[in-house]
Amino acid sequence: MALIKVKETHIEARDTATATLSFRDYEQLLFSDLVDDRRLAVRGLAELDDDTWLDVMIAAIKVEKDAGVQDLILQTLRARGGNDVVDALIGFLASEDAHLRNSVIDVLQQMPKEMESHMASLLANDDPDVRIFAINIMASLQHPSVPKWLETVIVHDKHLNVCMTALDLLAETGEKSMCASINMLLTRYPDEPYVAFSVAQVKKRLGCPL
Amino acid sequence: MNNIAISDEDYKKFCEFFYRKTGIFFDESKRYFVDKRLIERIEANGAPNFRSYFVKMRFATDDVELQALINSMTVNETYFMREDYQFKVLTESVMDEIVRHKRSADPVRIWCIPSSTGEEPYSVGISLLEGWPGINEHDVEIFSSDIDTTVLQKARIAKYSARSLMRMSEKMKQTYFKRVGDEYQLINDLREAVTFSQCNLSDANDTKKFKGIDVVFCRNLLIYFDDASRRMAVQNLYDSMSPGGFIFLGHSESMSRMSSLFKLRKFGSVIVYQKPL
Repeated sequence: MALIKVKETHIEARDTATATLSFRDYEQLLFSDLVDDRRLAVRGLAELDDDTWLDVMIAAIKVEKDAGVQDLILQTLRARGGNDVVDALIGFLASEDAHLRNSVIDVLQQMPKEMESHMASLLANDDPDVRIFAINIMASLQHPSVPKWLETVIVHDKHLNVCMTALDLLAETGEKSMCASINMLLTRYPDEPYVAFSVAQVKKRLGCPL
Repeated sequence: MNNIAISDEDYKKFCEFFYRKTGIFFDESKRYFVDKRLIERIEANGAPNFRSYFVKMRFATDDVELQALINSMTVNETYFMREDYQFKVLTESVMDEIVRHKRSADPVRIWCIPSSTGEEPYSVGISLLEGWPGINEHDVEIFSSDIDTTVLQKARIAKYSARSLMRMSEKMKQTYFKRVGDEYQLINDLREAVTFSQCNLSDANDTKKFKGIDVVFCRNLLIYFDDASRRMAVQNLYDSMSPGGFIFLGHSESMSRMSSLFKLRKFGSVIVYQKPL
C-alpha cells in the first residue's frame, strides 16, 4: 500500500458510465426521490445537443426542494444563457417561495445582456412587488443603463415603495444630472416625511444643490 | 520602449472575453496587473496595438495564444508545506476518518486544484508518507489540476529553487530531493505519484472526469472567480467528491459564504468543509 500513480486515460474512463442515458432517462431521474439522481440528471441534460431540456428543468425547479439541486439547475440555466432562459426565470419573481425567488434574482443579476431587453416590461408589471424585485436585480446588474432605468422609475412609477426602492439604489448609482428627477418625488409625495428625508439624503450623496 | 496602451474600453472588452473563457473576473482594481501582462502578450506577438492582437487571438483557428494568455494571467506563486497546519489535520484526523467510511478496495483519492508548479500536491504526498501511518495499509491516488499548461509542465518536471523549499527540514530535503546545481530535483517515486491534468474548475465539462474524490485542496483559487463562476465551481467540486469527503480552502476563504452544500467541521482551530455522508 502506498501512493499510486493513475494514468490520465483511467480518469477519462470514469466519465463514460452515463454515456448511454437518453433524454427520457434523464427526465425521469430529474424527478427521482434521490438527490444524487437529480443532480446526475441536471448534468446529463445540459450535455445534450438539443435544448428541449429547458422546459424540463424549469418544471423541475418548481418542485425541487433541495437547495443544492435548485442552485445547480439555476447555475446550469445561467451558463446556457439566452432570452428564453430569462423569460422562464422571470416567471418565478412572483413566486411565494422566497428562497427560490431570491435565487432567481441572484441568477438574473448575472445575466446583464439578456436582462436589457426585459427590464422595461418588468418595470411595467402590474404587481408592485415584481417591480421591486426588478430593482433588486439592478442592485448587482453590471449594465450601464441601470441608473437611467432607476431614474425612469422615480419619475413615473405610481407606487411609493417602488419609487423609494429605486431611490435607495440611486444613492449608489445615480449622478448629479438626476437631481431634478429626484426632486420630483417631493412634488409627487408632498405629505410623506420619509420621502423628504430620503430625497435629502440622496441629494446630499450625489452633490445636488439642497 | 513600448507605446502600447490599453484604453478603458479595451480593458472592459478584454475582461469580458477572459471571463467568458475562464470564469476569472478582473475588476478595475486588477488594472495594473492585467495591463502589464496583456501588453507583454501583445509585444510577444508583434502586434501594433490591442485591437490588432485581440482580433487575431479571438479568431485564431487554434487556442495557442489564448492558452498563453491564460498562463500569463494566472498567479502561481507557492512553496512546499504552505499552510502546513492543514496537512497536519489531513494526516492526524481526516485520512483516518475517510478510510473508516470507505469500501476497503477503493483507494483514497486526493485532488489539488490549482496545482500551480506542483509544490502543493507533492507536499500532500510527503505529508502522507511522513505523518500518516495508514499509508502502509491503504492506497492513495493524488490528482492535481490547473488551467495553466505552463505550470503543469513545470509541475511534472518537479525541479525547484531553494526558496520553494524554505519550509522543509533538512531531513525532508535529503529524503525527497536530489541537489542539481542550484536547484532541487524531486525524487521520481514521488513525482510519479501525482497525476497532473489541465482543468477549469468552473467548467463542468472539465471537472466531470473527477469522481469519487475524498479530499480536495482548493486553496486561494475561488477568490479569483466572480460569484457566478464560484457557485458553479463549488457545484462541480461537490459532484466530484464522495459522500463524507473533505475540502480544504485557503485561510481567508469561507465556503459558508458561497454555498450551503458542505457542512463545516473544525479540527482544533482549523476549519475544513465536508460533503454530507
